[in-house]
Amino acid sequence: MPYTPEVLYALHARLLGELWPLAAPLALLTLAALLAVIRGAGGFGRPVAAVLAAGWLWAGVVFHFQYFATINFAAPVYGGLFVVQGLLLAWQGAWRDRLNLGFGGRAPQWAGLVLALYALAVYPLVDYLAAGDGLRLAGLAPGPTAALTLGLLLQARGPIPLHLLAVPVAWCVVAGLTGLELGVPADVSLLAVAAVAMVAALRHNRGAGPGGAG
Amino acid sequence: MKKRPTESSAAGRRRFLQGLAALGAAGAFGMAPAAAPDPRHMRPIPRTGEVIPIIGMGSYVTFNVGGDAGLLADRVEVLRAFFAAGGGMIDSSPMYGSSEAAIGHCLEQLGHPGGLFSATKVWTWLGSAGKGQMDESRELWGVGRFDLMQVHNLLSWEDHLETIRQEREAGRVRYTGVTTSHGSRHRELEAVMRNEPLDFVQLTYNILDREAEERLLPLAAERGIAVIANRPFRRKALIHRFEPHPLPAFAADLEARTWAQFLLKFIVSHPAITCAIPATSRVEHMKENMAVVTGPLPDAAQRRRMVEYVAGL
Repeated sequence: MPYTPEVLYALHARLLGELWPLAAPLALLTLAALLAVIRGAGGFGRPVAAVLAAGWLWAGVVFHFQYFATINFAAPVYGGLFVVQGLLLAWQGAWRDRLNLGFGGRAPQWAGLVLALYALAVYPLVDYLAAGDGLRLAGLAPGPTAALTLGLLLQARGPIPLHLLAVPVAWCVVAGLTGLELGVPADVSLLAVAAVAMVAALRHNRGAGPGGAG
Repeated sequence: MKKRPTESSAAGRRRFLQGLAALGAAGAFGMAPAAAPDPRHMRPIPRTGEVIPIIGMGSYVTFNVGGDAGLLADRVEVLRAFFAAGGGMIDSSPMYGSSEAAIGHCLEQLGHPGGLFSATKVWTWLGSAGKGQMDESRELWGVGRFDLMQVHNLLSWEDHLETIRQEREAGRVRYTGVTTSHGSRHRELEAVMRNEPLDFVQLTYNILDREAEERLLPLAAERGIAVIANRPFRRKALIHRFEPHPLPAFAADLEARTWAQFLLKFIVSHPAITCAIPATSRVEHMKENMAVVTGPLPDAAQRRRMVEYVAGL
């Protein structure tokens, strides 16, 4: 890796310091998205997908292209994939309203709920304890955004579109392996997030059937 | 047997005396100055005879600080220590993230100290993008020309060597080089060394990675090509590997007080090596590395003992 954890944390700290008026509402919206899905009243697929899409586009355009690219030559590639994921979520969920999300109490959904709570609370806490700087929040930073997305997609009332899992799972693996090399505990945990999400998604889809409710 | 720093060439002494003259010292004494030897180990670049110190500075990871003000300030002090200890060559690459920008910042903060030997690389698949990348690197460093431009990891080397040739003709580059690392692509590097008019090659050479001794280093000596040794510690891996063990007793004869100095002295004592480029982000490590520039170096017998000692660890 061409950078150290110290530099990575400093980069996130600088991003938050420079853009917090834009970043803070987006981070709060991710919490609202989770609450809406837990409430499970239906009809929240569209706004939740919009929030997730915004998070992926932010992480792609602002973090990867503008910030991460200054220290990692691979960042533009990552940024491109994040933009694709953001557009997919925006198209399928926010525009076409094809994501019906709501907590149903089944095992895969419980797993998803744990992943979402992990992304919103535990990941930033682990990060903060490790670094004391550079808070990485869902909706802004790639890792927790990917974990939150996986957690919320597991709340689908019907088969989970697997193509929407591809980039988040791939990022969790890439960031996890990078975290292993650099010694960044929060990122290492993304390997477990990817594994849990894949197992839960496959189990969810087996039980969901082609029509929906499962 | 100790080997005192007697390798400073006439060119090195010339530069030292020119420095004295610039300070007015010679004029103050009203006489031609005696030939005071440069205390540093210097090695000639075969094509011109110009000399550079045997320890330079790499910048992979260590200077990639992403514009953070505090980290940049730390790196200024690292570079200050480098120059204060007689350092010269700084090596970087566009592949190293923000390293070139950080080096430029540090050089500006230090008032562009004399003695800099600026070395960077061109790193792009597209031959047509090479010139633009070199222009950007010059801007980031804040230099009018590079002393050395290298093709990074032999990437699109045919196109880039031609661009470097044009840059030399335009006065924006002085020397031409190619690089490899991690011991990879040695066959291809050998072919390029045989067929292209290179001034420098950069390759991985350290006490455990000695494959270059077999063909590449003799070829460099035969062809008059300067050699930069990268990955002297395999990043930090060799230090971590050897630090639990004591240095051998004969390290004292070499004035090698730490494993870093022991490992560097092994590298730069190879007669075909021009300089090694350890990277660090800490002032104390920079001082530790740069102490090698002036201390004794091992002879052939001592080099064999060094290899045998680490092989037994």
